[in-house]
Amino acid sequence: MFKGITIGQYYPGDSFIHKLEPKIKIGLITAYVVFLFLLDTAYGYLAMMLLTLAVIFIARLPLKLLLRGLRPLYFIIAFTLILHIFFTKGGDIWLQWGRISVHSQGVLTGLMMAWRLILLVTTTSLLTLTTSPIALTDAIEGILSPLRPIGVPAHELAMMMTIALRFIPTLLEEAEKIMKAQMARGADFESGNLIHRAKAMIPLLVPLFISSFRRADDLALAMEARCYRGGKGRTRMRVQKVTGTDWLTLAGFVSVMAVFVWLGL
Amino acid sequence: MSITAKDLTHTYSPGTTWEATALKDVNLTIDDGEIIGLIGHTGSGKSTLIQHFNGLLRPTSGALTVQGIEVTAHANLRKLRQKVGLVFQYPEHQLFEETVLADVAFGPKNLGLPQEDSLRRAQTALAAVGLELDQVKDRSPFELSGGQMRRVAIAGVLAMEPEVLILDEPTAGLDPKSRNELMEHLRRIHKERDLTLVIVSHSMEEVAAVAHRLLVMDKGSIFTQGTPRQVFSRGEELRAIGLDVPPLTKLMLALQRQGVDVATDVLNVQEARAAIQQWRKGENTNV
Repeated sequence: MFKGITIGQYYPGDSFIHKLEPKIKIGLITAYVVFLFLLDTAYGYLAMMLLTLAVIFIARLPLKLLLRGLRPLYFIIAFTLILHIFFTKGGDIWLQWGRISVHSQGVLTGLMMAWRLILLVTTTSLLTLTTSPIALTDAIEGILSPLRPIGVPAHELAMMMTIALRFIPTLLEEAEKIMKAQMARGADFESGNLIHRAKAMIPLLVPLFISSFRRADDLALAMEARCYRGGKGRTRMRVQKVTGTDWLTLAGFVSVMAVFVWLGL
Repeated sequence: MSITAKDLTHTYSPGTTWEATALKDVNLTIDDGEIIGLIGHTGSGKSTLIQHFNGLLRPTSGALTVQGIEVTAHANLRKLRQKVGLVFQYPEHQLFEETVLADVAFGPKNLGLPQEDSLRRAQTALAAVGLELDQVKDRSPFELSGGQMRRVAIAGVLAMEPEVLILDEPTAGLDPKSRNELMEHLRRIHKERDLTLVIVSHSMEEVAAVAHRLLVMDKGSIFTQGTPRQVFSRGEELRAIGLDVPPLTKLMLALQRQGVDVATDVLNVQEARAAIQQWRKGENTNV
């Protein structure tokens, strides 16, 4: 039941993409997403797709993994596509059936929107796939820390994220264990209508809640026992440094985007 | 025959990077009414094996028959789970109801029994694990002590009145007193209800005291099986696969290494003493 979740999953490797400085990586992806929303020609999308595929290829990620990550979005993608096909007017009329008509512009926009969604999800998941959770939260702390003087708890937020990410697999494992235990007592999680199913979750959720609180309590105690007192004056074991390669990559990305703009994509 | 497995193999996540064979060609038979001690190191496949017994996992290949039901994707799981009660490790983590009685009645209720019957079964089960009904039944299960919670959880499975009861490390994390009490209750329940009992443990000593037969697992296969006596006599091999033999067996093995020719398949202190006395008698006549 929980096997299909790939959000936030890390795919270990030592490719060029894996080694990029995480802060730079976050910046690049943000820029990519902004560009994705500025584009409005089919060629532009094609170019962006080639860029994404190149990154996937360089990072040596299995395409199957990325497609699996898209699975929860199939419905939204299909919905977007259909909505545009039937409701966006303009261009030639391709099909006319009573009051319902399909215009060429609708099909084109629909395809582009669906494509945009797919690229958006695939590319952003590239970030978590090629960056270990620890490196990622460190980078977020780094990005947020200039805001500390105005009261943004950068370290605390990063620590919360690290802990949350760390406990996702643990909680999934725990959930599966409790589920099995209740199934052994005849519980049925898979059949019945919506209300019945929601009710069936109680024997799973109550024990899961209790154990998460117990875990949180234990963890807090263990951290305090090891003198954890927040981020002030804390040094790092692994210091992230922006290297020449990172700057070169950034420059490369900017020039590619500049070419896109120049071509009027 | 209660449980028969033939070439039972189980592979987790086949066809992915995470593929792992947890069970490999396991062959075993468990007779009706037997008490089986299932022993093995962490990761030896014990837990995977017992989850097959009530259909939570299904064989990747090979065949498994439990109480006359073939465990396959099409098996009648409800019937199977009624016949085979499985108590997981740290079962107190599965408690969720507002009162102890309601929690224990969860299983029978899922079997479709009317409220009255479920409650009656729950009361019987609570009594069977040695809990004072009037003291615990209306309390929240989360107010109880660790040992009591464990017993409530076991009662929850017992209330389904299974023909086979499987317990995964039932005494893990309990203090010695609760440990002994629990094993005593299990022994009594076995006698009164005439069920087949499978107790998983990594402690030889604990299960040897109650089990008729021991199954020792290593790396997903049955390493050896037999009566506790037969198994203990292979002490050296057991230690080689990382299992600790009971202190008495260790003593006898140590004596043997020193050239003292004593039997090593002793189960209790009396037998150990007899074995040593017998050796001394032999020594005296030789001199």
